[in-house]
Amino acid sequence: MSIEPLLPIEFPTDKPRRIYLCDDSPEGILSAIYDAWTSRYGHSHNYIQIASAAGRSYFYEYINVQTDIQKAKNISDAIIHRVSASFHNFILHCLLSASDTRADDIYRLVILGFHIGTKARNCLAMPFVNNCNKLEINVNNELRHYMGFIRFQETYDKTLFARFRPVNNIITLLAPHFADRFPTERIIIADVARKLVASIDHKTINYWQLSEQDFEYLNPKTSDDEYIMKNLWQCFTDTIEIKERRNKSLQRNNMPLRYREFM
Amino acid sequence: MMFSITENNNIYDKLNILTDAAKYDVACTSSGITRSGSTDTIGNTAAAGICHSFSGDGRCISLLKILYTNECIYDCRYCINRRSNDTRRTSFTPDELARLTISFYRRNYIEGLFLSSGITRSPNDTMEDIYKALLLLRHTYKFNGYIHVKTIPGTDPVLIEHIGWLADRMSINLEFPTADSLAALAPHKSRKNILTPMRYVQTRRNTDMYRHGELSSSSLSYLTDNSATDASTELSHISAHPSDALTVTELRKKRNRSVIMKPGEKRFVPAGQSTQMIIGANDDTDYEIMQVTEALYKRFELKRVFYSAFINVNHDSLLPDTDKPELLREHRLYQADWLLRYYNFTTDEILSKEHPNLNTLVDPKCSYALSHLEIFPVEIMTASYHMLLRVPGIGVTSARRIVNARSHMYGRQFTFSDLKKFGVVLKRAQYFITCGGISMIPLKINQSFILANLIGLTDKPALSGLTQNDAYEQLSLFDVSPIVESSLQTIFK
Repeated sequence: MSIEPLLPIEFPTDKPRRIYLCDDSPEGILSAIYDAWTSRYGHSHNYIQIASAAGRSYFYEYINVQTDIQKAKNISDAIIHRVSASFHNFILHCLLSASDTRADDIYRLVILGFHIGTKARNCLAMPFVNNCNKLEINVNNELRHYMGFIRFQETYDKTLFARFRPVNNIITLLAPHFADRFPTERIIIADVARKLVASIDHKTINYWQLSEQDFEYLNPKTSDDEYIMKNLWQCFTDTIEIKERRNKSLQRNNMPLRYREFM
Repeated sequence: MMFSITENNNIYDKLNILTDAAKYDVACTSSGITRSGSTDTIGNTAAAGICHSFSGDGRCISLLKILYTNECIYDCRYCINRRSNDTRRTSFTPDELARLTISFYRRNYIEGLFLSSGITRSPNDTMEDIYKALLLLRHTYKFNGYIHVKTIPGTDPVLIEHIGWLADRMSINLEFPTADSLAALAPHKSRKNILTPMRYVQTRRNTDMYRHGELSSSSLSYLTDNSATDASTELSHISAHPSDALTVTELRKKRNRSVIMKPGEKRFVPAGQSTQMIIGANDDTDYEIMQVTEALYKRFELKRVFYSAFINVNHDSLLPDTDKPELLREHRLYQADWLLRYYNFTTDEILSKEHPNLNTLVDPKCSYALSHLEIFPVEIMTASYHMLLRVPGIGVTSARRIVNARSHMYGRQFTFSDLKKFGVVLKRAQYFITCGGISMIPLKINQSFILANLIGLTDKPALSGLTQNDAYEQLSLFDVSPIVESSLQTIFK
């Protein structure tokens, strides 16, 4: 099989290139993939960009894509049934990344996935596969870091409350981990950057998109224990350090400062 | 869950003292077992382990690493808790320990508990206290997270049997690679007391895995004799051992398998065993240390061996009078350890009786490659996975990526920039690979040239620094720089 039709062309041909402009959300990108695919215009003449990050050129046709949950769901289901669940999971991680240029790379990877199956992930010599792989690693790394670095405060009514500021949109990946870990607790996790909140009540997870104003109200009073526990924890982390081995730069490498905002 | 004010002061002091006493234990991993949560318990575990913080020395804080008590009847010369030291002594009650663990765990401060202890009356008495504390934590407080227990040398197998069903990982410190050093520096401990519990856990864990259909009966056969009377000789390479029949790859697969537990399931030490050795407190060589390490991996099926650079806390007359721990040596040993566990190397390939210590200038794999130039350069497009792993600058992940990508090239060839994207460290790999028959530098495969550039380790030394003259020079007796010459002598005496 030749891979040439999969890649976008770099010079004008008989028909102009079409640029699909979509929302910066997983559903938006999947809708654009759906529209580009069903247009039958030819993959190599299509290009998907996130609207907020796209420039304009006189040589291309621009199409604004309306985000449509049903279209996104159709693509998702097709990936699960015709490729595999693990490939769908991989695509999902890429979609949740914060990269501006991810839309077209994901489009190309989905096309390749439908052609050759899950092993499309292995074709690392192709630039879009490599890019998607990097996105997935980045999302997974941040997820793994926040699984450890997120800190809960106990509020006056024994709810566990945590704030964090992730680069990638990982709250939907993070919440299930804590729902499984604390099946008997009520938990609220708030993504400060996106004003997204996950509320977990005895393993049932709900997500809320809050307005700026509502988000400011989300500042519950902590319980009396909280101060004591914080002090004890501080005592532990200070004491556990071996002074003869002090290495602050290694500490910063392993736990960059951006993770410590809400510690 | 609240601590009262007076009790709280008490707890604060206890935590301070018992953390300070436990900090020299190395292992703080929470890995090796996947266990999802169940409805009425608190906690789950992840096979990869989760780090929750990093202390000022850069070490991971994953578990609440504390001693149950720092009162001790032993007098090990290197230990801060030895009986002849005049320090504040205290101990937790099982309830305090359980409440502290749960409170920290709920706030996502920790991944679980690492419980070690000084020896109060006898090893068995102390382990009984630990058992009571764990029982309370697991059953009354319904804690389902990670628990790592340190076994005390000489503990009765009956107690280990009980604790093993509650703990995820158990470890017992070997302390020194040779029995002589142990006798000199830890007079109350003996090889036999250390290896007997280790062998017991190994046997029980294997039978448990067999019961769950994870091991074949053939891999059990050599463990039927679980007496550890001759276990000491098993640590030396002289005696033959049934595990010698297994290939390196088979051993690696067996060791690295991580257990997935179903909710409510009971398993015996599912995350396996580990141990640690002190580095630089006596004159044991790296070769001896690595040989013992290899034997521990092969014959005792340990998950990890940790190395701890000796820190002079007691200024004992029998111990070296140093201020600084040998961190570089420790680092090199960990690198060699990784070569054993993931790169299919054996100790004898890395070190030998004639060169018993690891090179401080370059890492063990570079050192290996320099003394085995006959197998290089390796052609990336055709080399086997096993061969790729032997190239400096290519790791497990990048080797796997190369092998995977190679079968989907659609007629193209790799370029060096492709390799860089895969995570290959070209500043080391460039001397040892060709890509589609092309070498990245005008290759001069001789030891002094490569070593000189490896030590420099700038990004593209060979390309930027190499003029036409350097590439094809007149042979001379005097142009090897003194530092290269001296380090070559250390590698190839």
